[in-house]
Amino acid sequence: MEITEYFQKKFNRKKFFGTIGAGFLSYVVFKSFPFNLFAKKEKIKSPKIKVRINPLAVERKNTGKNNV
Amino acid sequence: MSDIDNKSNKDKKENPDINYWKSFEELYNDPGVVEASHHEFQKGVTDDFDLKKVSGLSRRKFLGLVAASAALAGAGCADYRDEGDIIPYNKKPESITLGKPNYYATVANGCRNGCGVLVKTREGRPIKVDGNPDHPVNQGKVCAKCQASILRLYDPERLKNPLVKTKEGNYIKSTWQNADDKIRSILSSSSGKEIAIISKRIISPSTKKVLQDFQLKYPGTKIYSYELFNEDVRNSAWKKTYGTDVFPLIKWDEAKIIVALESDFLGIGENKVENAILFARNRDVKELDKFNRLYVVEANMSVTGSNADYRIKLRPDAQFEFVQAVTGAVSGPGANDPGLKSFADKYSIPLVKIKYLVDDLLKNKGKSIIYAGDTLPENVHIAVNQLNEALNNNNMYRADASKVYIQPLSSNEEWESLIAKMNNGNVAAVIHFDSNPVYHLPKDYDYAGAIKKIPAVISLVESENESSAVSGFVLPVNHSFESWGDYKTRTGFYSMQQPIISPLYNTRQKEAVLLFWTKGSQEKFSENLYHDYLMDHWQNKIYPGLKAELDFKRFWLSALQGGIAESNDNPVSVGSYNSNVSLNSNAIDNKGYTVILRESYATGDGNFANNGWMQELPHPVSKIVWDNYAAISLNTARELKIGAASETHDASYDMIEISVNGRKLEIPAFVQPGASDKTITIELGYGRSKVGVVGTGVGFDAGILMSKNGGISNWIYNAEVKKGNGTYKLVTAQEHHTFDIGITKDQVNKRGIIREGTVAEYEKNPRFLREDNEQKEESLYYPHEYPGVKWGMAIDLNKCLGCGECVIACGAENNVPIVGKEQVGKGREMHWIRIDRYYSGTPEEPLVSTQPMLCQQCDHAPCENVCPVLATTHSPDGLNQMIYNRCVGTRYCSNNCPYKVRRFNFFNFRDHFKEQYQQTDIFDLVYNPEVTIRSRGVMEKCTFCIQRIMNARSDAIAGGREVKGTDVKTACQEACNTNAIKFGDMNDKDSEFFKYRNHELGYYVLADLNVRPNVTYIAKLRNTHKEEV
Repeated sequence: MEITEYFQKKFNRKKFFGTIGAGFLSYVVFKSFPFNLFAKKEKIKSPKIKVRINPLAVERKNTGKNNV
Repeated sequence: MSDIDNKSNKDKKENPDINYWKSFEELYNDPGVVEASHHEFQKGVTDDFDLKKVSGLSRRKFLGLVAASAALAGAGCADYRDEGDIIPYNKKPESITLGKPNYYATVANGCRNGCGVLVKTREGRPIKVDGNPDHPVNQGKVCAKCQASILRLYDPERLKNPLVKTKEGNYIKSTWQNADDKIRSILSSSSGKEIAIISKRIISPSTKKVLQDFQLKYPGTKIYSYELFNEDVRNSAWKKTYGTDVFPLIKWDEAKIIVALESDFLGIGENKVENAILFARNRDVKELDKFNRLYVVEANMSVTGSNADYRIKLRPDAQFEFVQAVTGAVSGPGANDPGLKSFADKYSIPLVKIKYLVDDLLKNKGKSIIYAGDTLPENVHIAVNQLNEALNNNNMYRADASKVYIQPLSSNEEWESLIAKMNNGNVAAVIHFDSNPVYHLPKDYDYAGAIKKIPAVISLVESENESSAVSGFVLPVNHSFESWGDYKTRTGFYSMQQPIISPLYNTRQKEAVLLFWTKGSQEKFSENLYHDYLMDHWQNKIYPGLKAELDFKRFWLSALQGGIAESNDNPVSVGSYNSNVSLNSNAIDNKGYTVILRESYATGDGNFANNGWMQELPHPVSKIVWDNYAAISLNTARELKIGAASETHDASYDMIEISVNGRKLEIPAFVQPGASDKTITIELGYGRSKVGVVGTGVGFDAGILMSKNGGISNWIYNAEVKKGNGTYKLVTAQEHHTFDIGITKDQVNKRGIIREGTVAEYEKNPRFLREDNEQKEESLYYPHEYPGVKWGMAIDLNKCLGCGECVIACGAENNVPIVGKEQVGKGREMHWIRIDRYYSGTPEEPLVSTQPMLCQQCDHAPCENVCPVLATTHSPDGLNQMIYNRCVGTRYCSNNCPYKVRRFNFFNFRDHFKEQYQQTDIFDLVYNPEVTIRSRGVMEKCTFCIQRIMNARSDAIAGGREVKGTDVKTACQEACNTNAIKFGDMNDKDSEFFKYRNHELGYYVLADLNVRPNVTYIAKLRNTHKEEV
């Protein structure tokens, strides 16, 4: 391969940095893009739930018969 | 659409030998079914790529796309699923030990039985419902609906706030104070007009007291109660025959001969759990002398009928004639009575069966019981009482306890009077007290029309329903697991209800709502309002009469912990027989069609229509899911020119049109083997129009055929029937996961999938089932050593009723998802245990065999060898384990499993079912934290409840001892009402389990494959007459 042909096929430096820059920019845009807009929405709304034990109820520690 | 007549003509050689089949398609060698049985998945489910259609993508482009996809996935899907936060308790509740469950005894009031339950909670949230072992009625067992009632607690569509209807007809969110103020004002200004409270059957004494207090405050109040399915006809017949109010309880465990007339006492209805427990006590192969004999005389195949030793198919309008014929024979010449022959000839019944019945009744006088079903008319019940009296069967009635009905149901006249008052403007307000009269009452009352004329309609409901949709105020009430209460259904005790969890939403207990309206408007509502009222009622009214030894506070806490409070009320006596009861003895001359309307096995009276677990439970007999249908006989199908199902295997069923006095219903017809001719059986509880995304529009509302005046009875009507328009897709699981039918037509028999005999055969030769099955096959594999515990299961097919309660229990324990009708139609249901139901004999007179089928945990498991990623391996205690994280979804294991018990997640079913119903935050609370939630692409199967084994092992280590077989109960075993499922250590030779495991009647399914399964089936013995051996 002749040297001129080699330099012609070599990746252009300016183009290289341009591509890197565009790639980075794309990444930033891509990363900040709100993909959740396309996510399935919960059609049935359920509010935040707080689980509370009723303090007046009486629990058992096991299932055995006559666990009193 | 294929025509059955043509099909059956192709193969008229109906084999009189044992010839098991699951459906007509299989019986008549439908090519589609035979072909489908050769394949693991249904057609199209796993289609291969057509390489010709794949584009010629270059390697470079492909790699570029992969890289871009990876980048996209990495960046875009980084927060694919919100794992949530794990936050330690800031203040740990005293009763909670992290990772350890607590249990609460309470009552689930999904039906009228008031069974005692024990609810397992983890970190404060209820996750599993089982029976309360201390409860005298259900004795540690519950039905499938009761287990599924937990799903209603976490139903994302439960009402969360009070709703008020605007003038435009829209509902807007309101506050309790706003609703209370408005309603108090309406109630106070109702003078001279009636306030109607409509409830279902009231079984709580304290609820009754609340209603009485409400009546005192608002004197115009009247209470109406109904129950779509009830025992009033049986009770009124009893009163006429014996003079006492309540039909007595029956000693099912002492009766040698049981005759059920149109009664599914093992499948549905009042006390079915207790009935099954008592019945199965005399079906133990270790106590052969106690074996009972069950005769069932019914129109359509029921759970009870499928367990009969002798089943006689008979249309319901002939039941009275049948009882009279039998009465004539037992009080006259016996089995040779000519009346029996003429009856048998008239209804084409095998005479020999009736002769056996009469013989047995005469030989077992005082040890037999004849029991008529709830749906039959009063004269049949009276005739049955007389027959039992003639046979001296009075000692089969229990004297230790009797049923209690604390509030009678409203009569037809009371309902008509209410509707008239509503139409005349004499009713100021109607309160639906957790009831749904718009859906339940016969449509010819025109309740839905009358309610529109009421100025104030108030619905106290958990979720929206047809009645709340016509209400001005829709007030959300607590689930039974958020409620206090007391229930009285029997003499001798009260069942106590306590909240397992504080209300999840802005709801109130329905009793508290009424109570608050009786108080002054200045008072503030307290969450403990009804609790304090209940305690006060007990302390002052009930406790003093109990003569308890403990002081009240200790008594109260003890009653709550135990779930029951014993009382000393006496059972109602049987009464004295009145031999002068007149009977309308004219047999009904009905040559047309008869319709029977029954309680739904899955949805009850429609109360469970929005419950996905119940909808997806295959019907115990037909195996149909997510629908109701008209069950008809083969001859009726031929007469109506109805096809069984499409030859293209697309599950299309012909519609029929049923007319009862001008009331019309179109519904798909399903040909049910063993159904009587010209009889159509339909389950109610479907066709709901307002019930939530799961149940809305599922099935057909056959309630429109009911009339306030009844027909032959309130549930049985003469009808005109003709073929309807078009077809409808019914989905049945009976052909799913089937064993390869292959070349051998009757492989179920030849390969020993079902092995059965008779009691007489077994008595004659106890090894009769083993003789052709004794050889020990050699294996290519070295045997595994199991020096410690080796887990195994034995399933006694003599006790298995095929009810499917184990299926629901397994689903609840192991977080098995609901997949929906469409996916079940593709064979993608996810149940880890299925109930295979086989027919044998002819379609007209089939015998039924059921067999729970789950992972057999084979020692030489074929699934293990083929997994390329070692996702399924063998444990040192004999379990065939599944490692979800390794599974890449090749499905080789499923393909290689001869039992077809592996299930593949074709989707993440949680976001692939009914508008992501299962993906909501509230639904997450139902999951068992001990069991991994599986996602798309993963294979799963029964684990023998490995989480329970590990808990038992952990407890044993903590206690410094070896784990024992009796330390573990699997979910299916715990749920089985009849204790048909035994689980334990196969190496413990002294255990009860070992005796079942090595019983003479024990066998392995597909033993010829020599995969050495660890599930033993105890062969079913039918208790037929010795002459038949």
